[in-house]
Amino acid sequence: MFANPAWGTLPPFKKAPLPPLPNIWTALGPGVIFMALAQGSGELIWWPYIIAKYGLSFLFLLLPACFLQFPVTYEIGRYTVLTGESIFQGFIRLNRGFAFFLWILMTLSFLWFGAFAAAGGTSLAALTNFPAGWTPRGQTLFWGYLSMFVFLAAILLSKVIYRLIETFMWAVALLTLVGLLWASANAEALHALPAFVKGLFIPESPMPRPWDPDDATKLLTAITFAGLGGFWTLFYSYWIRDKGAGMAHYMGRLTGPITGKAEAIPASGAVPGEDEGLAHAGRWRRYLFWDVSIGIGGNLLTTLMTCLLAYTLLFPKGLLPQGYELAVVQSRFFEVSWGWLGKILFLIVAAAFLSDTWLATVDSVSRIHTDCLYAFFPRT
Amino acid sequence: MSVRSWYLIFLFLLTAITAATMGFAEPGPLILLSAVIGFVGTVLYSIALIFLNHVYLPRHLPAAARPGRTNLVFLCIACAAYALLAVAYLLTVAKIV
Repeated sequence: MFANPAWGTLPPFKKAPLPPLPNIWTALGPGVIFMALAQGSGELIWWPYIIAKYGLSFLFLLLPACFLQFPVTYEIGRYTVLTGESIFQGFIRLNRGFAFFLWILMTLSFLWFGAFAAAGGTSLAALTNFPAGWTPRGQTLFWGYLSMFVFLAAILLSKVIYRLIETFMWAVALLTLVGLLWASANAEALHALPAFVKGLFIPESPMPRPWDPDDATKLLTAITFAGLGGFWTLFYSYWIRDKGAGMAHYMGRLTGPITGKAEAIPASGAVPGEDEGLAHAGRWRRYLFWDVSIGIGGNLLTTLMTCLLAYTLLFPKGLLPQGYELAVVQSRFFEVSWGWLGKILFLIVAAAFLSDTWLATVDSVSRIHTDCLYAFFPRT
Repeated sequence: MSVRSWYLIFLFLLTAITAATMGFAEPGPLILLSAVIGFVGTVLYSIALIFLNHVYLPRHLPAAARPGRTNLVFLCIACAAYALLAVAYLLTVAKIV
């Protein structure tokens, strides 16, 4: 393969006018998926754990950690808006050997993401106690497999796969945002708010408990993976492409095999020519800025709220959200405000935003593999 | 085969793999490998973005569509921060610090 000069060589860019930006409200969406997907890790797993264990000692790292993702995500989106190609196609153009190495790394890092479906299953198992008589682990796996089956069936039956994912993620993001806003409005959380806001800028000292060296990797992961992080951030390019943003207008979309009509997907993208389309460049830049801001800002807002709730409700009692009790421990967030109804609502929300991670990941990783397969082995 | 056919093949393959592995705890070495790859991968692709969007791509773009210097500065800051975090993570898992 490496001796063949044709491997990993994409056709040259075509030239085409940069299309006008449609109504900005209809163009937004990839940022919402970013926000909903990010809720599956940092918000429920890492940051609430750090806050529940160490109070406000490390909260001052949250804002810089979230803002750090902005330039990277923006540049990923920029490549796709200006070429219509996915970011992996861009890396292949830059250096095919490097892109091949990155593809291998990404494949290895996504060997075991079924854990997210299982994490969503913990919520549904706690909610239903079904199937009756099964162990909590058995019930969790039952719901994990069921959610995977439902998502797979939804993809196969969808007309345009991206639209299904965007619609589902809009619902998850809005439900989570409203639910957390409501839960954060309880008296205990409001009382703790001034100290919490101070902790965002000034670290609490001394720490309420001795530092556990085993938590060093958790803290570093919480900072690096605030928002999406890792290879997940690259998915943003694929959502921008199937949204048809900028030059992606000229690329076909992936459609469902049963009800969708196949669209032609060219092997390479197009860059804007020296024509009247350039007048739209500024609007597309602003669109990208706002879309990324929705993703990162929305994620920051909801992470702040889960941290506030963890500080108010879990930290004083020494409750740590982890393992199979991840969602159950945090269901106290909603239970305090609304009793048993709140607990049920939280478990539904948690199930949605943990298992949506599986949906978005299986879709995006399949897209990346397809992209790389076509670029590295053109005869396929 | 079409792009859609390959996408579906990978979709089923990944579903089968995750379904098969979901019932088992993630092996310790794989947890560590995934985490290290996540940190190192973030640094690698962030640096690649500098060269892709600020060196390679501008050659193909009209002047009005090229990225500005401010974006480059922020991207470089993010790269440096991710590199530091990756080094800190590697030193931590290697029990050097």
